[in-house]
Amino acid sequence: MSIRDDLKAFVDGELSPERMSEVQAAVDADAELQREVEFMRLLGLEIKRLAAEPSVAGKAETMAKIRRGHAHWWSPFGPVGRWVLAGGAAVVLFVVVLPLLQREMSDQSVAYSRERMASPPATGDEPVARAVPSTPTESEGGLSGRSFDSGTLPDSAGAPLDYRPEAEAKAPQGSGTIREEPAKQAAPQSGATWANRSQRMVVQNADLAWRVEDVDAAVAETRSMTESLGGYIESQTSSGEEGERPTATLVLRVPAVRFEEAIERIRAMGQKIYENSNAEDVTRQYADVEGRIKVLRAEEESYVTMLRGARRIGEIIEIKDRLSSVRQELASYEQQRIALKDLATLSRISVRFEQRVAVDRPKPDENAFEDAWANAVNGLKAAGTFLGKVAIFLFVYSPIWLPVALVIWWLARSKKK
Amino acid sequence: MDLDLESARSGDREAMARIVDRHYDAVYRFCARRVGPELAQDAAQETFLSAQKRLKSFGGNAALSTWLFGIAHNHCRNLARRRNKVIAADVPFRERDADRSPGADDPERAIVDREALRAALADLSQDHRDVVILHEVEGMTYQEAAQVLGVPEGTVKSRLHHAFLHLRRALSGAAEVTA
Repeated sequence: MSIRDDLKAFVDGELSPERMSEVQAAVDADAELQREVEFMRLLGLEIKRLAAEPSVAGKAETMAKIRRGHAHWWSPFGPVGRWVLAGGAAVVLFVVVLPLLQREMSDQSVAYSRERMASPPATGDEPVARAVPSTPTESEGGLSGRSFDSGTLPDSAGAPLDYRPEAEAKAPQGSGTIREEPAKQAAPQSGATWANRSQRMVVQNADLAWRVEDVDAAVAETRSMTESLGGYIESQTSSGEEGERPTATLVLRVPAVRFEEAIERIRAMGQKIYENSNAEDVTRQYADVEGRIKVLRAEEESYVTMLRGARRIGEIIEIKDRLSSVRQELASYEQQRIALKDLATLSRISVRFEQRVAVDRPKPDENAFEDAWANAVNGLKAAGTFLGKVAIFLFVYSPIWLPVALVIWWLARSKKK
Repeated sequence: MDLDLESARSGDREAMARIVDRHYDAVYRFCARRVGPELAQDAAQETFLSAQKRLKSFGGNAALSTWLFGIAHNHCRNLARRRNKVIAADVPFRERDADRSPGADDPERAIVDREALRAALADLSQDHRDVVILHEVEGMTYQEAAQVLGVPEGTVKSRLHHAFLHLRRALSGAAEVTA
């Protein structure tokens, strides 16, 4: 293999030590090879400098999707389930909705004919007005005019999702469950709901303390409930020494649209010690951050343009400094935006479980006889076990102790004589 | 031992989300350089969803990032094919993206004619361009690039050699070695 064939690997330090030395010696001795090596190094640098540095997008969405997990092929939102759902919807449309519409239209036309045949219509518009299908309106869907319990802000189930970037909003809804939920689940939720589907962005928090029979069981149930709702456990601490009541504190993050459902399910686990929930409308804050990001992006763009036109070193350095500070600020606002979105998408519930009775609690007096009986039986069993073991040991070691014992016995007996 | 990796293998989604947090930027940029920013988000997302499903099969022979790049490489190839999208050869080195790095267009720092270099890179075969991106841009060793592409290390070495030979020839007329 010629030296030139290995020149690139030599520049990259990817040759074996022996071959490296050979190529190094050849390069040292040949000015032309030295120029080629130098050119390759510089070309590598230039390629790196020329490479696109695209701005990263979609990280938060991907993380949320990972947290939700992927749909199985057979699930309603999996690759097969989606088609089955679509097919089902089409069948329902053709079998139920279209005949209903046809009948409605036919009724309308018959009524209109009768009106015309009867008399000049004093209420001529009535059939037309009646023919307008009484489809559910927004007010029926509970999207406005609802009251909120405990005087908190509207629950805004699903509202944060409306803040998805354009690309995300257009993304396929296959494996996601949350995206489907605002329409399906907002209505049945009790008490809290959201006021303005398109614009509100609300961060919901709850702080609960609950007395339960068994803390471990409650923790396990909460964990499985959180996962089933598409959330996750942010943190968990537990304590409980002998004679104390065991406690466990969990911080859950559940999709905003399942917030009420999660609270309800925790409520069913035991008896309330205290409960506190609040909601903070961060719509304005989010809009401010978004606006600031837009402004900073425009600023960044203009600095980049200026930098391209700059020729003097001092000018270039100054522009670079400003560009750097703009980018730092931009990164900070991007983080704020992500954090706000995360908070609004996933509600936070802190729940503290306290066991009703302490571990190893003193037994009531009425059980004293039972306890004594049980202790005596256990003691007898232990004594039996011990004696059995001793007998086995004696039998196994009899070749050792039996002759000694016999000698002692014989000596004792002969002394008596 | 990567604790997040172990937890994610046993189904801990939060641990997997932390892995995504650590590697997303690099994988996204890798995808954007392969299929352009329009498809990069989908490609990166599919990469991590696939990784989540296949994490148990990750043997630890390569670095996790290398393994992820390997998945991303396959997804990028399939995504473009699936969407009948012809990826322009100059995507990895498009001017508007390069403009974003400060001082990138500083003529004093240019070693060769950038336009000529860009054209020469676009003129490389896909295989040659892949190794150039993985090694020169992503900074991978020959071994890592070989693992990502699923080819022997010697092939990476040979492709790089020929790619640089091609670039040198293409630039021979226009190159201005200023160093």
